Amino acid sequence: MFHPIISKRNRFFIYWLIWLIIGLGQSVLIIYTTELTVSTSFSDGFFSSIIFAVIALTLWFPVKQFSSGKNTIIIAIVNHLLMALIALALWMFLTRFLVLAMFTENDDYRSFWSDSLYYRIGAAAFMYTVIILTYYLMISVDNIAKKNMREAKLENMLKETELMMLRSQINPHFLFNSLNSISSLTISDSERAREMVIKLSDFMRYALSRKQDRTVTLETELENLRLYLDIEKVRFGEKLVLEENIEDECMPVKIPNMILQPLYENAIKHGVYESTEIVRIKLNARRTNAAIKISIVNNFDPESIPAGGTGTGLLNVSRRLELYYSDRAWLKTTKEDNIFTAELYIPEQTDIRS
Amino acid sequence: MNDKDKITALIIEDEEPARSIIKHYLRNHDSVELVGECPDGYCGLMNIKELNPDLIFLDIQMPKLTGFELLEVLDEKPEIIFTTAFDEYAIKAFDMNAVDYLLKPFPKKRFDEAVEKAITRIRKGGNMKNKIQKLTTERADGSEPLNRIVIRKGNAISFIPVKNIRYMQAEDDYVMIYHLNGKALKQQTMKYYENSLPPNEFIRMHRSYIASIEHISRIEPYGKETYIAVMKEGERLPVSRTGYKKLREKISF
Repeated sequence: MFHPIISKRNRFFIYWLIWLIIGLGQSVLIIYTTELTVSTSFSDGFFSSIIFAVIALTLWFPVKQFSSGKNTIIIAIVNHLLMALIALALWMFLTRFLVLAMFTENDDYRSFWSDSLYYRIGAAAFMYTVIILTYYLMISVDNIAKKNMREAKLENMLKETELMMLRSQINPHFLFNSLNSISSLTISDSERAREMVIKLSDFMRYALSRKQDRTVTLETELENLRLYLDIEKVRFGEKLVLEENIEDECMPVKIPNMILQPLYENAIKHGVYESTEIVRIKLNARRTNAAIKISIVNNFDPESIPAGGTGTGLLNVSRRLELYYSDRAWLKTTKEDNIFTAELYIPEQTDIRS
Repeated sequence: MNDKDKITALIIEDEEPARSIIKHYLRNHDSVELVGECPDGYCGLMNIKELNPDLIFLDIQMPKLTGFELLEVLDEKPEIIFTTAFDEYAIKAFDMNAVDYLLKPFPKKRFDEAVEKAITRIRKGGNMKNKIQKLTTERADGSEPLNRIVIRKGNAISFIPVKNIRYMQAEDDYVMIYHLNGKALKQQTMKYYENSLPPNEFIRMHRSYIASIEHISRIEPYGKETYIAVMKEGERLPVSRTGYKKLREKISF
């Protein structure tokens, strides 16, 4: 069972040190103000200190119990008064009994007891209050800390869930159209059909991966992106032309996984779906000081009005960047004549998971 | 139907592998003759006019003209088998009296059933397809609000972006659309537009009027419990009592 003083070694040490000083102080006070012998004075001082200290330690458990219960104020007050009474009686009885048992000059000590009774009760009540209040303080500090921890944990969980949801938003139509292409290829070219099944499997494994490391090198991301693009190439054939211009030093930079795929999907949706012309999608990546800049550029038909689409793909990318990097990363999109550009800026960081 | 009593079919589908699987499945159907294939909706429109097929295999998401938009601008509709990866349009497809709705990828058996159904319908229907079939659907494609309206003038196709629409007026079986660059007549119901236009931007304020909220300049009382909406370009349109209530909910004035 946890005890805020007993469970912490240095607190326990300091606690006894304080009682030692109190005991010493009481002994000295008795020596100077009464006729009692030095040994009786010390006995009284230290016994009362030690006994009070032990009783005070055990008080933690009822206090803990009272504070967690849903008692009304009246019951709480009654509880405390009763506890105080028991503690005080026990303390006085034990101290007196032990000192009397040790020494023969009982009468002096007995008269000293009746003289000092009110002082004792007053001092004990004061100490008792201090200890109870300290316990309550400890409990509330502990509660606040626990609450903060719970909140932080909850927030983290929410963030994780949101990231997971944002990441795994692969358009199901992509999957079904790909499967349809495969179904078609099994008739005309079973070898290519098998290749496509493998590519689709590898890509889905990457896209749906629940692994902890959610940042990957650009190289890994590109490898998996190419699986996706190969599948799209089978669907759209000559209509889709892909180009890449990537500086070699970009390859080891870490980026969130599946961050490029939605940008390609967007380019394909607005380029290839809406137009009958050839659509070129070009990826540029370069490293600037402590950051990587990736742009995905595609041509589109500026006359076309999209039949639908709510742009959730791009919004998800922005939101993910925000969750990962707060405001240190951004996504910018521009339309100029018939060119659509999506620009990603991601800071280099060894550890971005907090 | 042509002389040899064969059924003519056209494939309208933007992905090549998807076209080739339909062609492959069709080989077993001797009574069906493939007369053409199209990679986009506009090509489909031209080919339907030119070849007058009995049956079309129609994808929904395509460049230039979606499958549904294509049907909207057709005067005479052939029998339709939808082939798509989108399951959310099935209800609308059957509203439009489609023979069948094939979800990609579909097995041969399912395809055969659809074609047999189409053959039966065509043989029984005789000249049915020459009658103008009206669009009876009351909803837009799937759950997304409408983004554009397709207009056909002869062979030319144009689009009105929904954000350019000022208001719409019912005219018998048609709807006159007043937009930033003029007006256009569509064979469509008010109910359809009421359900399909973005609900935050448009309001059915009268049995015969839907207006873009953005284009309403002010509301004036007119007689007992009726009102007039004054548009930014000066038109004065009637507002019904329920229309006025809806307006009050959407905008505060």
